[in-house]
Order: sequence, then structure tokens, then C-alpha cells
Amino acid sequence: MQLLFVEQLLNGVQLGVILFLMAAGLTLTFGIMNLVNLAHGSLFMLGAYLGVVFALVTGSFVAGFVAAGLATFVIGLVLERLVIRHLYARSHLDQVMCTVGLVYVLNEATRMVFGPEPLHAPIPAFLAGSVELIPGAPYPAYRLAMIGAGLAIAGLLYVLIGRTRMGMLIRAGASNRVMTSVLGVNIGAIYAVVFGIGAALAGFAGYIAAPILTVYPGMGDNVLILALVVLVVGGMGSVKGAFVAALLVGVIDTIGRAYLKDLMALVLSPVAANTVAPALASMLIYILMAVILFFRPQGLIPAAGLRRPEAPPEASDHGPTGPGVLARWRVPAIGLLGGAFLLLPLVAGLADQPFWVDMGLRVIIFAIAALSLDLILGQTGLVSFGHALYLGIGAYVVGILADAGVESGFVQWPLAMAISALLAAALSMVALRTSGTFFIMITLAFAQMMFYGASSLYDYGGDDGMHLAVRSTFGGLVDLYDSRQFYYLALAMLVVLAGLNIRLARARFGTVLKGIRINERRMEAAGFPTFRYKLAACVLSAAVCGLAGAMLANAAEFVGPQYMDWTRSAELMIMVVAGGLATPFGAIIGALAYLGIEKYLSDLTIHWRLGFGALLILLVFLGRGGLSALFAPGPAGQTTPVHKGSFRWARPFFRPRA
Amino acid sequence: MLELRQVGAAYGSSRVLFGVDLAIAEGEVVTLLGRNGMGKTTTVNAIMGLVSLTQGDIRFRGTRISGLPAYKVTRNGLALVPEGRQVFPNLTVEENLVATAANRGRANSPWTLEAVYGLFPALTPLARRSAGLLSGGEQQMLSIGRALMTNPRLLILDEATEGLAPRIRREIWDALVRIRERGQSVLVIDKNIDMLCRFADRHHILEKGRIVWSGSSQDLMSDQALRMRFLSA
Amino acid sequence: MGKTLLQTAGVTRRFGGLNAVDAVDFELAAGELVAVIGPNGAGKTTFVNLLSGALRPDAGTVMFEGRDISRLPMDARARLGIARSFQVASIFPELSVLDNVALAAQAHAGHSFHFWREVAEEAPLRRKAQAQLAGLGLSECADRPASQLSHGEKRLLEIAMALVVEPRVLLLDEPMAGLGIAEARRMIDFITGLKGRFSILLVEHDMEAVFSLADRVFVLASGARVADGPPEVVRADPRVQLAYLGGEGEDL
Repeated sequence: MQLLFVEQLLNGVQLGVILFLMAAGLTLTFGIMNLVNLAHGSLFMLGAYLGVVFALVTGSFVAGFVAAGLATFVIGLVLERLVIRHLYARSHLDQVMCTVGLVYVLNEATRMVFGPEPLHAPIPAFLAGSVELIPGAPYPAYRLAMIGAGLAIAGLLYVLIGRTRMGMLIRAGASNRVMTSVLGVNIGAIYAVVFGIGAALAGFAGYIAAPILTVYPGMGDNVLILALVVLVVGGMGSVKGAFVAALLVGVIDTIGRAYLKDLMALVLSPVAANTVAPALASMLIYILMAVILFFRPQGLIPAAGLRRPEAPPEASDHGPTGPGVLARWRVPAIGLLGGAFLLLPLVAGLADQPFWVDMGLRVIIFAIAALSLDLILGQTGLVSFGHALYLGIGAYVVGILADAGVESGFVQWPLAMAISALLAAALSMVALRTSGTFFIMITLAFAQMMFYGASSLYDYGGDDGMHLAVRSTFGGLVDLYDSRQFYYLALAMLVVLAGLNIRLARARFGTVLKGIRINERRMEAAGFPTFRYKLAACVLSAAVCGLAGAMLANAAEFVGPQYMDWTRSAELMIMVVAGGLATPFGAIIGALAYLGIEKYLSDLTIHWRLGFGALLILLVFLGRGGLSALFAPGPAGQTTPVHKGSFRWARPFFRPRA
Repeated sequence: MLELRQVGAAYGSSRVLFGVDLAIAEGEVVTLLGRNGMGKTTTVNAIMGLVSLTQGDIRFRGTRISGLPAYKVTRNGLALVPEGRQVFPNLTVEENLVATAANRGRANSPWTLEAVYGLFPALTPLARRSAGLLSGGEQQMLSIGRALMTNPRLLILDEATEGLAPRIRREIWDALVRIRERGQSVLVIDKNIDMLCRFADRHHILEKGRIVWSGSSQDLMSDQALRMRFLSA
Repeated sequence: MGKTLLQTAGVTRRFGGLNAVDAVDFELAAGELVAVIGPNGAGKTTFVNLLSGALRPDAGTVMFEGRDISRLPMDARARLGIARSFQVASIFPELSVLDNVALAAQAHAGHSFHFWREVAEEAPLRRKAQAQLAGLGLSECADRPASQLSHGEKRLLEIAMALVVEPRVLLLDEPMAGLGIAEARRMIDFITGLKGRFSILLVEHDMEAVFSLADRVFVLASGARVADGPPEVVRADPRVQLAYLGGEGEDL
């Protein structure tokens, strides 16, 4: 038992070391450039691929090690030059979108070059055996070497940052960018090097972890999210904090998975312990994160000297104020869109393409989900990166109830909304204590926590999810097995929700959200308890998304953790941004465009994500205001005659006297 | 050495400088005077490349420095001791001095760590302490030392004695005099006219974004009306 | 002067090792205009932040009408009647000028958990906002986006947003900063018009303005109170001369 414990402890340290190498790069880029880089996981993956391939070609493990670091360093410099550099001055939302685009591109490019099959990374012969650290407890030599190598790199990093001139400049730049450049330092070059170093650390991590992980495209994404947890727990921008938090997270995660079941069996029945423990174990570090954040919103060891001026109000994400090039087609376009939705089943019937109705239904469901996200992301300006969580919660409520024999939609759907709302209330109480980047990472981590929690629901299919036993029934009023009825039910809901949303945006509540988005500090100074309004927005938004989830479960006749995957959250975010933030129809247009492009590209090539990622990056740099901007009427309160039928919210709350 | 010609500058829509002309010769100590909000700090920011010009140009030793990014301006041999000191709080005192050290103009007798500690003995025992934990006066000394460590041809001091206790202020003035004795060219902004008259060769008064008066210490001391009108002193 | 409205006792705020505001005792009576002056870095803005609730004190108390409000957040203090302006004008640039003021008025007109009725139809808010703008001479630009206002007009707008809720105490953090001569004149005239109607704390650099406006001048240096009294007394106080104006009698 004790020997086993030592072994688990070492496993935990080994995970911690990998996490530290990942988190160090993230924390440096955040601390110094104020950049949220979600493509860091892809650099981990590239390090693994390039290093392993080089090692296989040369036959030298050490050569692979060097190659992994060098290659990712160079790739980092190139990425910084081409893309990242242009993001420093942009909003965090832009940074998230653009780096997600990079993830798509890099992962898909890797899949194209190396194929979808996992790559086998052999353990080098000289580290193949095991070492008896304690008599009777052999421990794999390779894992020990990983710990050693990781700690050595951490040590080098410590010396680099703490002892060298370069390190001083890095720290100086982190605390006062302007003053550093006034003293003659080319801060742009420092940024590039720091990004390169971060990339190389991720590359090293990927390479040394390769033999014990599967090397496949996308392997870095899960590690990335763990590293984000480390970042948040340790305190953003703090290398020391990242080190402590990485070890903490690594050890707690490993030990939790190993012993939680036994511990819980002490207080619970074995059956109960067997069910709850795995789910709880995989959620443990996220719970840890939540607890730490509740008491220390800045993390365990906040970076010294990082006192940023408050970010200026970000108007940039919300599109141009001028009229769009297609402004005169606004009303016809909206009519056309409405007509198309209304007539789709008919047309599909005539064309004998019943599949179109299913596609349409999917668009509607995602439009509802995107609409709900827009309430917090677009209208309130809270960059929530875990919204798909509620899609999953809604789906699971329906699935679990159906499994238990409760088939009525009148019970299932409201319950899906209520449980989503309750969960959102609890999670937002923690998440809203933070702001900016922290908020992005926490919402992401919470979604991931529930994702793992759902994956551990072995009675409900675990990882694989489960088939929905039966679609919701509505006492004979609506039959969801009739695809047209289902379609029109969903469409009706979308219309009602979109209408409510337009009213809400013009009512007091919406104006408060808008005020918070533009200038929260001013709202507080004016006397608005902003926390309450933000919380209400989060809860409302989650409830609506839970409804979308309930419908999604019915439409797909499937419930699974995939619904809560972080890429799904990213998709929702892309829909909202592509359609246009805080516009009445942006979410709907965005959902249509996203699913349409996805369908079109994926019919064209299996590597559609490559093109998609590129589109996403272009969207960030060229697509101010999303598709809605094309149809936007003139600027608020100036030229447009404002009348009751106006579709634009950005008009003044008060009409000029006639 | 430094020459500003018809320099104009604005922050967004609010214009601050309306054609400032100013010249500083090698080895000279020059002041920029004027009430708050008259554009002194903006002039300094314009020289350092921190605010872009709306008109005019700035030359340093024959090279045009307006339009250059701040770090390139500095590399020509300028150094700023900014208003509010702005030391790097997360670096130690010694790191603050060393991190950006360079030799940008004093080939023969450059400022070294020893020289700076000699100038400000109070900093010596604090070498390994985080700069964020220093008192205001110590931070001011550090900020001056940090600028000197780049061995500039021209040192610019923006309100280097503001908000400090009288005793500390005297120490800083002492140090400035010693810096001057080493032949350093200095552009200084301060409110203490008595001290400035003893310290500087020439004075310029800024009023509403223009230089309205230039002259020697004697001229300034003897003209009570002038001081009352532009400096409320 | 009326009875004491806003008061601090030993209020202290630390940043790192520095006491930005160091055990300050301060009183503001009803209808009084107190100017807070001091050199850069003296802790003036920190002091305003402590009064408005943007910061919580590390020690000492802030009292409003005899009630300890040290732990109350900014929004709660605003609802009690403590309004403020910021050193950098803080407005809603994307909204129209009228909407800026109306939104501020909304904060004091019941809760905002209304999801259906359009604010555009809430006539009382609109009337209040229009009256306030008229009082400041901003009526003509009521429908323009606030981002298009001049620097001085933005400052006035910010004050309009503070005044529309009829506050008891007005905290003005350098309202003249960055204004041209004419605009500063306009601002001084306007603040003169407010004298007596509100209790005002004015942080200001412009000495002319301070000495012409203030009933009482409060001098901060290095976070601590140096002097507190009528303008002419403070102006003559050698300690103030020394702390602020750089003083005579300093020898090499």
C-alpha cells in the first residue's frame, strides 16, 4: 500500500512536471504580452510529432529531444511573426477566436502530414528498465527520467528568468512595457523570444510525454486545458505559481484517481462509491480550482508587479458603426431568411430530400444555443468559453429522465432548463468573482469538469454516451418522431426566444447589460450592483441553452459528453462572433453560416478543418462585426430615422421628439 | 544637440502642444518651466517617441528622431527619468540598474554600478531588495540611477523631486549637481525655481503648448512679474 | 456649515510596502466644498477611491451620516448618494449623450430586472436626463454618440451622469484635467453654480481654481494630511509651501 502510494506520488509529480512545462509558456505569454494563447496545446503536439519522427529517423532519442525544442522554437517565432504579434492589442475574445483557428489549422495540418493513426513513440533502450527507488517498488526508469528532465528544464528556466539579463528584461517588460522601451529595449523582439521559449517548452513537454501518451493530432488539447487550470490556480503570469500549482494539480489528480474510491467506500456503500468516485476523481482538480478561486481570486501566488491598468472599454468587437454594404437589403434579407425557415419542410418534401429538415432542425437548435450565448458574450461582454456545458446538461437531463421512464417533455424540458440554471448560478458565483482572462479560463475549466464528470457516468454510457431511449412526449400535442412537427416546434421556440431577446435588449435589463459591457466601473459608480445583473444574465442564458440541449438530445436521439466538449463551446462562440455580437439575428445567421460552411467544406474534403481554421483567423482580422455588419443600418442616433420597427438595438433608448 | 522645431502633439482629440521650439547644446543644463497642464510632460513624451507629433520635427545630434519608436530614440543617447519614477517593482534594485544598462555616449568615463552607488549611498544596502518595497525617495534615486546606467548624452528629468520629503529632495539636488559636474547635459522639469536657477544655464517657460519665454537664470530671478504671470511664484 | 456628512477616521490604504493613504482624518459637511490638493503621488486619487468605494481601506473607517460604510462596495455607496467622476472621463462612448444620462438615472429608479418594457418608453427617466443636459448646456448634442463629444463636453457629461441622481456628496477627481482655458473656465463656472447645493470634494491641480472655489483646502502629501483649513490660511502655511510648492529656504 505504501509502496504503491510512493509510485502514485511519483506519477503525480511526473504529470505535474509536464503541466509545468506547458503552463510556464502560457503564463509567460500571458504575463508579458497579456495574450491568451489556446494554440499552445498544438505546439505540445508538434513537439511530440516532430521530435518522435526525428528520433525515429536518426535513431537517437536525444537528437529527437533537441529537434523537438528547436523546431517548436522556430515554429513559435514564425507564428508570432505571422499571427500572434497582431493579437497583442486585440481583445481577449479576438485572441481566443484566432488561436482556436490556429488549433484547427495546426491539428489538421498534422493529420494531413502524418495521417490520423496514432504514432508510436518508443521508449529509448537506455531508459527501458525500471529503478528500485525503494526496495521492492520498481519504478519505470523512463518516468523517472521525465521527472528529471522536466525539473532540469524548470531549473534552467528559473535561471534564465531569475539570473540573466534577458530574464530581467522579460520581467521588466511584464511590469512596465512603456518604461522598458523608453530605456532602449526593443520590446517586440522580447515578445517574440518569449513566445518562442514558451513554444519550445511546450515542444519539450510533448516530446518527453510522447512515449507514455498516444501521439495523435489533437493530443495537446486536453493537456492545454489542464495547463490552464494550473495557470488559474497558480496565478496568471507567475512562473513560481505555475510550478507550485502544476505539482499540486498533478499530484491531486493522480492520487485522487487512485484512492478516492477506497476513501469513499469508507463512508458510502461500495456500489455508491463505485459510481461516484470515478466521476468525482476526474472532477477533483476543477473543484480544487473553484475552491482556491473562491478564496483567492488572483490565484495562489499572483505575479509580483503586474498591476495592469484597467482595460479600456472594448467597443472594437461590436462592429463598425457605419451602415453595411448591403444595408438596403436588410429587410428583404430578413424576410428571405424567415421565409426560408418557414418553407423549408415544404421544399424538402417537394424535392424529396427529407434530410434537409433534419439539417434545418440542427441549425435552429444551434441558433437557440448561440442566441443564449450572445446574451452573455455579446450583450454583457463576458467571454464565456464553456457554454456548451449547458447544451450537455440539458441533453443529459432528458436522457437520464427518459432512461428512468419519465418521458413527458412537459417535465423533461423545464427541468433541463431549471437544472442548467441552477448549475449556472452555482458556477457563476465563482466565475464572476474573476474577470477578463481568468473568466475565460474558468468557464472553460468548469465545462471541462462537467465533461469529465459526464464521461464517468458509466451507467449512462460513460465516454461513449448513450442512445436516447425515447423522444420526449407532449401528451399527443406534438409528435417529435414526425420530423416536420419537431421542426416547427423548434422554429416556434426560436422565434419566441429571438423576439423575447429583442425586447429584453431594449428593456432596462438589456440596457444594464450593455452598460456593463461598455464600462462596468462606470455602472458601479452610477449605483448598479453589476454582479447581480451579470449573474442573472448567466443564469438566464444557461436555462435557454439547457432547452437547446434538451432539443438536441431529441433531434440526435443521443446523449453524450461530446456535447460539452470545449470545441463545441468554441463552435458556439464562433457562431455568435461570425453572425455579429449583440445583434438581433446575429446568432441565427451565425449558426446557419457555421453549419452551412461546415457541411459544404466537409463534403468537399476530409481536411475541412484546415480551411475552416484559416477562415476563422481571417474572420478575426477582417470580419469586424460579423455577417450582420453587412446589413447594419446607419450609426445610432445620427442619420437613421428611428422608428418602432427598427431592427437595430443600437438605436438610442430614447427617440428624439418628432 | 537636441532641437525641436514647431513641435505639435495631441492626445486623441485634445491638442496639447502648438509648435514648440527648443534647442539644447552639448553640455548644457536647461529647464522647462510652466504651470501644470501646460505641456511640459507632453514635450518630454514627444521627444522620447511616446506621443506622435501632429507637426514639426525633432533632431538629436543631426539625426531625425521624431517618428522613431521609443527604444530607437533612446538608443541615440537619451534617457528619461519619468514623472512618477516608474521603477520596475518586481525587480531588485540592482536588477533595475543592470537590466537596461548600456553605453550610449560616455566612452571615457561611463557610469557604472559603483559610480551610481557612490552617487546614492542609500541604495547600496538595498541592492537586493525589490524596488516595489522602496520608499518614494529611494525609488526616485533608483530611477535616476537607472537612467544614468544607460550613459546618455542627454538626461531628461521630469519632476524628479516632486512629492518627496525636504531632506530627500536635498539629497537628490546634491546628486544632480554632482551629475552636472561630470559634464552631463540635462533637461529638467521641476517646480522649485530657486533650485533650478542655481542648477541650470537656461530656462524655457511653456504656456498653453508654446514656449513663451527663454532666458538665463539671472533674467528669470530678476523678473518678478514674469514669474508671477507664468509660474505663480 | 451644516452637519458632517462624510467622514474618515484613520483611513489607510497600502500598495505593496507603501502607504498610499496614511491614517487620514477628514470631514465633509453638508453643502461644503472642500478641495483636496497635493503633489503627484500624494494619494489624492486613492483617497477618492476609498471614499467612493472603488477601494476598501486596509485600516480606519469611512462614515456616511454616522454610518460605517467602509465595507460597502461602490454601487451601494452610490445608491446612498455618493456620486463621483473619474480622473479620465468615464462615460459610455457607444451610447448617445442622452442615453448616458438616462442610464445613470436608471440606477436610482428602482431595480432594473425589467425584461419587457422598453426603456425608451420610460418618460420619467428621459425627462430627468433632458433636464440635466439642459442645465449643462448639452441639449443640442443629446442624440449624438457620446464618443463624438469634445474632451470638455465628455467631462461635463460625466458630471451630468453624477448629478442626475441628485447625490448628497459629489466627488470630483480632477475635473479640469486636460481642458483648454475656455473649457476650464466653463467647468469652474459650473462648479461654482453647484456650491451650496451639494457637498463637494474636489481634487484639483489648478491652484487658481482651488483657491477661488473652495471653502476649505485639505492638503495631502505622501498619503498623509499636511494641512486642513480655509484657503488663505493653507496658502500661507509654511508646511504646505514646503510639501507642495517646493518651498524656499532649501539649501544645497
